[in-house]
Amino acid sequence: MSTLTRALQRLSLTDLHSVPKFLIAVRMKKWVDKPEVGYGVSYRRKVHFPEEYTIKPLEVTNLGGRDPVTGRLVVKGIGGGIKHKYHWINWKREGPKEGPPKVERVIKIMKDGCRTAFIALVACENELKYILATQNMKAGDLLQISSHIPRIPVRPNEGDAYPLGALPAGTEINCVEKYPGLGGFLVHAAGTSAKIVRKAPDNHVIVQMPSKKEFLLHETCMCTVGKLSNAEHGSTPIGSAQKNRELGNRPRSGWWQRKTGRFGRKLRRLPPPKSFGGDGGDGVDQIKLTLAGLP
Amino acid sequence: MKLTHTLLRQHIGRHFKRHWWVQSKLTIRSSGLEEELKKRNIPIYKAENILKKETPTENIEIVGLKPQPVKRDRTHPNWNNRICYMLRDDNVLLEGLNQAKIITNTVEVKEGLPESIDLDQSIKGINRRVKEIILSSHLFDAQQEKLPKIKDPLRPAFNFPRTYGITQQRKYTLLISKLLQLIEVLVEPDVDLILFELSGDTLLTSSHPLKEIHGDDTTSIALPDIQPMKETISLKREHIYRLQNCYPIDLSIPKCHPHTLFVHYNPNEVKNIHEEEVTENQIYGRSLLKSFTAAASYAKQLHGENIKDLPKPVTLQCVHTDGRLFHFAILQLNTLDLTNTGMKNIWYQTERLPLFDSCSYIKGKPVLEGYNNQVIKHLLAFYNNI
Repeated sequence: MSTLTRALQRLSLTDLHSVPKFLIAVRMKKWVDKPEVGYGVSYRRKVHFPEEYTIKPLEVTNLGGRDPVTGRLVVKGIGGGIKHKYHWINWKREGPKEGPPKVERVIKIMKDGCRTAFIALVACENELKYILATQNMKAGDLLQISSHIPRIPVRPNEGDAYPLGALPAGTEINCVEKYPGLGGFLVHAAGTSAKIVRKAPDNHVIVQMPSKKEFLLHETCMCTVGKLSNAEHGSTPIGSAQKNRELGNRPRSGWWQRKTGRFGRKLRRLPPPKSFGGDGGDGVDQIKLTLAGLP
Repeated sequence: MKLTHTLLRQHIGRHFKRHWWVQSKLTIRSSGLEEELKKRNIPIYKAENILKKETPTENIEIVGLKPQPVKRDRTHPNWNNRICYMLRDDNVLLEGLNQAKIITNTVEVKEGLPESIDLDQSIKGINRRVKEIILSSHLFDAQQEKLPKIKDPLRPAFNFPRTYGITQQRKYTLLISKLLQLIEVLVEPDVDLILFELSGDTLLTSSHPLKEIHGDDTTSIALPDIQPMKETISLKREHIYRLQNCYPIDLSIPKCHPHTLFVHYNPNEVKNIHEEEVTENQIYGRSLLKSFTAAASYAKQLHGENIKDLPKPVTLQCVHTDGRLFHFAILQLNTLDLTNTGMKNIWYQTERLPLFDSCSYIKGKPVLEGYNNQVIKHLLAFYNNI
């Protein structure tokens, strides 16, 4: 009896450090934020990226419209189709800050099943990487990359990469960085290009997107010169229902929705140039408060 | 029913929960406090770090059924800080022959094979027997293995029925061994030759080394230029390696000298890193690297590990084949100093010659179409070259 008392004396009540996971899953099941479409998450496929950049085509998991985290069905029209390996594109094209530009050679123009524009395998010294191919790019081309912004704008060739500030107004560009150093972010689709409109105060440049909206970007943002390849993609009909299934889209029907603006925007004045500001790094912190018994 | 207070009472727990779900997420806005504290050199700690209690984890060693594989990181016994560029059998050089020439410090003095190779040798009835060998190795062998999947790029959704038949490796082994056997039976060689199997490939060795072909100076012939790329492009960078030279035949054995190297190109195994088709030029580069490796390991065993310029050049013939197309080449190894701009190694090669156009069953009959007798002439010439 005395040993039992002694044992009980040592016993103390503390909170559990971590609640077992299955408990959370059961209790919180009702309180999951439903994933929303249009915030940079792909519900078509999940790519298994390795730690280091590689040109080896990567394995993917097709999601069929499901959220990769919660597994909830988010998009209804996706599923099936041919599984394509993913070619990891190196979005960062950085050249020397001063001195002569870096030169890369195009090895091959290839087709990637996961995107609309063609891709180009380029080589420089010991490095091999993929970039988005421009319209007239072909194997053997030499591309120049520089991060230097000269006083007089450069005269670029197609496929070259320069900062926005180094290019003359009216240049067609693609794969534009949103924030300096982030990597090509805007204008990726086949046959599209943005246009440099004019310089703006405070080291900024106004760029017109394919949607005709104008963005105010920092002049050190890198971009590739030229229009993206495979321009016929947009005007090529899918052809048959079966072909659409091969592309991974499920059968659907729908009524004509006049007001969505899907088939052309209403003609009104463009909004003023949109500035993104900052370097894209200062995201606002969010904390989640917890209370026992409540979600 | 009478509307009573009890009846009208709502269950508000659900609303509380919903309200908490929305309001429990707080956005932290910067109040400028952090900068102010930093300015006054007051240390800032995160609240979680103070409240969190460290619980030491206990390592329990679980005895498994089989030993754990050695981790491929810094703790690996073969880890080196210096990066090694690896080229394995399943990879090819991006720039093909040009890149291989730079890596091995090799130049081509002239196109085609040297004059000392006599291509006009023929034996009566040899072509008929070669045709029999092709049919027997490509069609008549009894092996029934599951062959690789067939894919049609124009119809990607189509699943073809899986075929069973003779594997690439088997076809190659049968073809080369039978062709060599035929030549050995028909030709009476001046020196003894034996076969040696080397990781799936075949090495023909002789009792005397092959003679030197080209003795002139090669300083004036420049190596190809692949700017802006380096010669190590597309090679795999690895930290875990062990440098060693090994020539599998001991020099005390009488027939230790390499004569002809037979290399097998299997398109299902040998691939580019980006999984595109291997080009002809890349196959030529593979021949050069394979023959250089064999010749260099032989030379190192002959003259020691640190030999630079060889006192007597090593000559090695190479036959690279996928069972249908044959690539004939000769390497004369003059130096193992790969930065030497004066003395360079010398390479002779032919185009890829087809042994036949097609060999298959047509309407149930075995048919061999477009037989080319040049291949057996080249093989005879290589065999009789001493």
